[in-house]
Amino acid sequence: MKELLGLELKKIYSSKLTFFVMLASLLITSFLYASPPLSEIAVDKNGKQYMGRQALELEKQYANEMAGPLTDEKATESIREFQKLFKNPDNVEISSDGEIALKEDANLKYVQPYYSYYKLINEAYILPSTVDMTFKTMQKLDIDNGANYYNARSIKISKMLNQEYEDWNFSPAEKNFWLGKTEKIQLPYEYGYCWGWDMFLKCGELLMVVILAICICIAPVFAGEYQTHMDSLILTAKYGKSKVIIAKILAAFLFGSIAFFIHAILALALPLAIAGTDGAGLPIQIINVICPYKLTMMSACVVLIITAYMVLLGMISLTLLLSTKLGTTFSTLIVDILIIFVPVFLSISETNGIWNHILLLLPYNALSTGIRDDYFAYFSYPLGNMVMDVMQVRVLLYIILAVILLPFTVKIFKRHQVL
Amino acid sequence: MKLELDRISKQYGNKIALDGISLELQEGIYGLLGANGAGKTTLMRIICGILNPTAGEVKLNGTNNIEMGEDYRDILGYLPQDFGYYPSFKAKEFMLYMASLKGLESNYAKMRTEELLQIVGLSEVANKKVGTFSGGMKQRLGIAQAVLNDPKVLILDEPTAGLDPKERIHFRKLISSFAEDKIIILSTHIVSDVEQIADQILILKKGNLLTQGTVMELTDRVRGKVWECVIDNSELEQFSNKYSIVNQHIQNNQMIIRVVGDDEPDIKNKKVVAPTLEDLYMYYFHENEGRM
Ligand SMILES: Nc1ncnc2c1ncn2[C@@H]1O[C@H](COP(=O)(O)OP(=O)(O)OP(=O)(O)O)[C@@H](O)[C@H]1O
Ligand SMILES: [Mg+2]
Repeated sequence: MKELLGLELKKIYSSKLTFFVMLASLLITSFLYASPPLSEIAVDKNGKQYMGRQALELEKQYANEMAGPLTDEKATESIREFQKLFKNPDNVEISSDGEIALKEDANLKYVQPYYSYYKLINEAYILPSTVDMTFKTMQKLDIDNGANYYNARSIKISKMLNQEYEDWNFSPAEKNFWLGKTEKIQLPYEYGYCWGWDMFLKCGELLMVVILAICICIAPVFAGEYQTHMDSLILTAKYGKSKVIIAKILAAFLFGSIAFFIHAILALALPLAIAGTDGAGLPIQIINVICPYKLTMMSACVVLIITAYMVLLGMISLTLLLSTKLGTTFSTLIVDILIIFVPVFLSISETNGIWNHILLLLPYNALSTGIRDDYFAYFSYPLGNMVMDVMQVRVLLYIILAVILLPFTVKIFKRHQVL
Repeated sequence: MKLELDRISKQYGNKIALDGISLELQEGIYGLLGANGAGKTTLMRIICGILNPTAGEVKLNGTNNIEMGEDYRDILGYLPQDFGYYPSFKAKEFMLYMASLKGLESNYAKMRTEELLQIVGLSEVANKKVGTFSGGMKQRLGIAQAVLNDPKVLILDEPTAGLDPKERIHFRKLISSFAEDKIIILSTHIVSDVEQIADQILILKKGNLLTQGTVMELTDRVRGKVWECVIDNSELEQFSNKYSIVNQHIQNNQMIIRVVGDDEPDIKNKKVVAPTLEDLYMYYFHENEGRM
C-alpha cells in the first residue's frame, strides 16, 4: 500500500501539468497577497502621501495612538473630542448640502489618521447594514449622559435580530442562538493596529486560485488512466479494483493538502511580513462592532483557512468523481470551473431567503467570511430546534460532501469498461 | 485448470463483435488468428473481465471470472493491444508499480523486475523514462509486466506487434519457456508468430470461431488444396481476382503464384504442394482481401 501510494503521488507531482499549474498558482497567489500591502497608500497629517511599507508604518503609528481597551469612558471621550472639532470655526465650512462639515485640512489632521478608530465608535450608533462615512451620527450624538457605547451595541444587535426582512426573518431559536453568541464576547474591545490580518480576512476568495489549481492537478487521477489506456493494465491487476483506488484517492487528498497549506501559509505570511504581525490577539469586533463571533484576528484567519481547506476537500472529492465518471481530464475541468465560477455571477436575492442560504454555501462564496457585513455575519441555518451559523454549516457541508462522493467514485472506477 | 468460454456474445449497438463463442481451454499455448476487426481484442477483454459480454460468461474451473474477483486477477497476466504507460516513470518504476498493483512483496518485486527486464533486453535502459522508449521497447516492457506475477492465465493481444524479427524469435522462446502449466492465449494476424509455438490454433472470423485444432490438424484441412502455378506476368491481375493467392514471386523470368482454394485452379503449369498455416489463413480470410 505504501508503495502504491508513493507511486500514485509521484504520478501527480511528477507530471508537467502539475509543475506548471503549481508554479502559476504560487506566482498568482504571491502577487495577489503581496500587492495590496505594497500598494497601500496613506496620507499623513500634512497631506504627504506614502506608499507600501511606509504607508503601513504610518497607519500603525496612528492606530497605536488610539490603541488599548475601548471602554465606555474612552468612547465618550473620543466622541467629545470629535464633536469639539466642529466647534472651532477654523475647522469648519458649510458643505454643498448646507450642513456643517470639516474643512479638508482639519479632516486630514484630526479624522483621517484615526478613520478606522472613529468608524468603530460611530458604527455602534447607526442602524444595522447602513453606513455613515462622514460620522454624522457621532457628530450629533447627545453624550451629556455618556456615550453608552456598549449599550448602543446591544441595541444595534437587538435591532438586527428583530427587524423585519423581506427575505428571511430570524426565528426565536435563531435570535437566542445569536444573542448567546454575542453575550460571550469579551468587553470592552481592544483596539489596535492589525492591517496584515485584516487584509487576509478580506481576501478569502483569492484562495480559490489554489483550490482550482489543485483540482486541475488531480483531474487526471482517474481520467488519465482511461486516456492513456492504463486502465486495462490496472483493472486486470490483483489490487486494481481495490487498493489502488484507495491509493489514488489518498494521493489526491495528500497532494491537495500539502499544496493547499503551502499556498495558504504563503498567502498569510506575505501581508504579515510586509504589514507586520501586530494585532493577532485583537478581537474581530474592531472590524465590525456587532460581529457575533468570538474570534481574534488570528483565530479568524485560522477559521478562514480551515473553511477553505474544507471547501478544497469537497472539491477534490467532486473532481475525483467527475474524473472517473466523465473520463477525460478536460471535461472534468470544465465542470469544475463552472462549479467554481458560476456562483461568482449569482447575486443575493432581496426576497428569497432560501436562495440566499444556498448561495452562501457555494464554493466561491464560502471563502468569504462575511464578518465585516452585518447581514452576512448573522447568517444562520435553523435545523429543527438546532441552529448553526454559516461557518459551521460550511465546514460540515464540505466534509460530508467529501465523504459521501467517494464510494461513488470507487464504484464507478471498479465497474469501468474498457471499450 | 480449465478456462471456459460459455456462449459469449458482444454487441456494440447493432454491430455484433462476438457471436456466441464457446470454448474450453486447458494448459497450453493458443494462437488466436483473425483478420482486423474479427473480434480478437473484444474476446480478450472479456476474458480479462474488463468488458462485460452482452451474453455468456467466462469461467475458471467452473467459477465465473467476475465473481472470483481478486482471486481471478491474481492469476491473470494481460498485455493489451494498445496499453498505456506513464511517460515520466522509469522502466523499473513502471515495473515496480505494476508489481505492487499485482500484490508482489516488495523485495521479490525488485528481484523479479530485474530478472524480467534482463530477459526482455531492457536492463540497460531500466532507469530511462518510458516516454523515451521506441515502440518495440514499450512492447517488450508490456510483455515483461504481463508475466510479473507468474500468471496461470496469460492473455497477450498482438504481443509481437512492433518487434523486429530477432525480437520475435526471442519472444517465441520466452513464451515457450514460460508455458508450462499455464493457459496462454496470444492473438495475432501474423501466422508465423504462432505456427511454431502454439499447441492449438483458434480461427476467429467476424465474431465467430471458425475452427480450432493443432497446426497439423488445421493444415490437413487444406491438404491438396494448395498449388504452386507458373503463369505469365500479364495473367497475374486476372488470376488474383479469381483465386486466393498466398504468395507470388518471380523466378527465372517466370511468375510463380501459390494458390489456395477448394477448386483446382484452371492453370496448366501447376503442382500440389504441402500446406502451411498461412495457406489455411488465406483459405479462410481470402474474401477480406478484396473479393466477395
Ligand atoms: N468500442 C467499440 N464500439 C463499437 N464497435 C467496436 C468497439 N470496439 C470494437 N468494435 C467493433 O467490434 C469488432 C471487433 O473489434 P476488435 O477490436 O475486437 O477486433 P480485432 O480482431 O482485435 O481487430 P485488430 O486485429 O484490428 O486488433 C470490430 O468490427 C470493431 O469495429
Ligand atoms: Mg485487436
